[in-house]
Amino acid sequence: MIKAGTSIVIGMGNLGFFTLRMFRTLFTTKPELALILDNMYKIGVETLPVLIAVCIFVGTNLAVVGYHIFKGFGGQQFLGVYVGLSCVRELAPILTGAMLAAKPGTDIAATIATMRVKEQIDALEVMSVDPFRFLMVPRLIAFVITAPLLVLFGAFFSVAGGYVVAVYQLKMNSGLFLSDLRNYVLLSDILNGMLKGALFAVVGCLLSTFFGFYSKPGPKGVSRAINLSVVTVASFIVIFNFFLSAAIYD
Amino acid sequence: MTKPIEIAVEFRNVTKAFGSQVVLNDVSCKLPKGRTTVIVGPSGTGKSVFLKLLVGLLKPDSGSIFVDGIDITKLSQNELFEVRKKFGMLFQDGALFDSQNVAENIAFPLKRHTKKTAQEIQQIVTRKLEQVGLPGVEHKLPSELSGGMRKRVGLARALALDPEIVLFDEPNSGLDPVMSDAIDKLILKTGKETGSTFIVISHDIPGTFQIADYIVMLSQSRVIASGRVSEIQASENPILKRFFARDSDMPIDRRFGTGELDLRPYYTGRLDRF
Repeated sequence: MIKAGTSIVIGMGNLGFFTLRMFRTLFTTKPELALILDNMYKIGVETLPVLIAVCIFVGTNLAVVGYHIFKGFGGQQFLGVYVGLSCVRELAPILTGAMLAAKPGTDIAATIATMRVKEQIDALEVMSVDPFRFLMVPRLIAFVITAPLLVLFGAFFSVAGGYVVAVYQLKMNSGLFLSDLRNYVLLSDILNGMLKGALFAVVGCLLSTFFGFYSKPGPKGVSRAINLSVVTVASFIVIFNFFLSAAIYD
Repeated sequence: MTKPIEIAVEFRNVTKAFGSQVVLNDVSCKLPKGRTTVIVGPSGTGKSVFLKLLVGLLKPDSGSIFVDGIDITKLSQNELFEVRKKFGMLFQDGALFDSQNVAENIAFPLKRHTKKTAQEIQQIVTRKLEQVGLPGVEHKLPSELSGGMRKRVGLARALALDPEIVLFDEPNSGLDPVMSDAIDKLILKTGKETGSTFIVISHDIPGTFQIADYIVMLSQSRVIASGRVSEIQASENPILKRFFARDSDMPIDRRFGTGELDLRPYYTGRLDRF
């Protein structure tokens, strides 16, 4: 019990120093463009297909559930605004965060943990290459640039999924759905969603790199780093999202 | 009278502990420039920690470590990165980057720290690979190489910037006896060719005697002996004798107390004699 407590305190301390060094490197060194682009490409390509698939079906699901709830009191015309705001404000950022944690997040944790275990990070240091500058910061920047764009894709495809089900399966009026979207989903909603995505990306990338960097030796250490990374990031994002929404919309 | 030997690295009263476990206890030694020094000792006596301290990957709890007269324990991160450019290091399994092929691995330090053109870098890569006896493997990935080949490529990368000090972390571990001997001969050959300071960590005894000019013996977290190979071989110290005879049954003679005998005066006091 005491041992678990101390290890949590030590972990928090390490995370603090890690974050500090990450941001100090971010603001004091010249970013390495080639590495950032490389990582952006990887993050985008890895995440986009699965994100689109998940978002489409979350949108369709929202439309079906919402239709039957609203039908109970004759409010079907609100389906557009319901699907639009839920997706743009909440679900697209959360799903983007979750998919980032699941795909590039685990990839980062695994890569960095393996490099740690196989002494490659030590090798970088001995070759006078700052691992933060070479491995961590390019990934952080790539995450922060890519995430809002992914949120945009997620929002579009989830709303589109909802629209298709509403119009073709539930036989709603297409114009009504679209005018709802136009009138109630504001630009600020979209921007807030993208901002959320960027914040999730910062936290997600920090935690994934952190768990990789402090990986324990051996294959067990690597698998633990991946596990911790995806579980912590995914649950943190859901909780963090509540507080962000409360702060933005309340 | 030969001219006095310069010192490349000096440990002065270095102590390092992890939690309550003391790994190095008041370790002092001087390692001469342009020669090969092998640090030997039983497993778990802090040999790897010794190397990590030397390159500044770890900081000692107390004591100083001098590299060419600069105390590296007092340097900031960026100053440390400057000093480390003097070092090349061969890690136990080579520590090659998995996603890069052999040529990219060797070119890595050159790309990061020099302004050489791609063509010049390519020439250096070819030359270094020839030097370690592996011409023509430029396009292989580390996973396609055997353990011995990975070490050779690792050595080529360590030598890429023509470092003043080259460190070897157990160059023989995990190799068959023939490959092990080949690596030793390679170390011997490159040591002569480059004239750099070589610091090798090993518990491979025949190899140690083959490559070493000097030996530092660590046991129970302390330096128990250091000196020229002939002195170490002639030593009556029971721990040394037992270690080099590879005999776990050999009794430690009680007349020697704990078996600790410090040969440091022969080494640190009268270096000019060698």
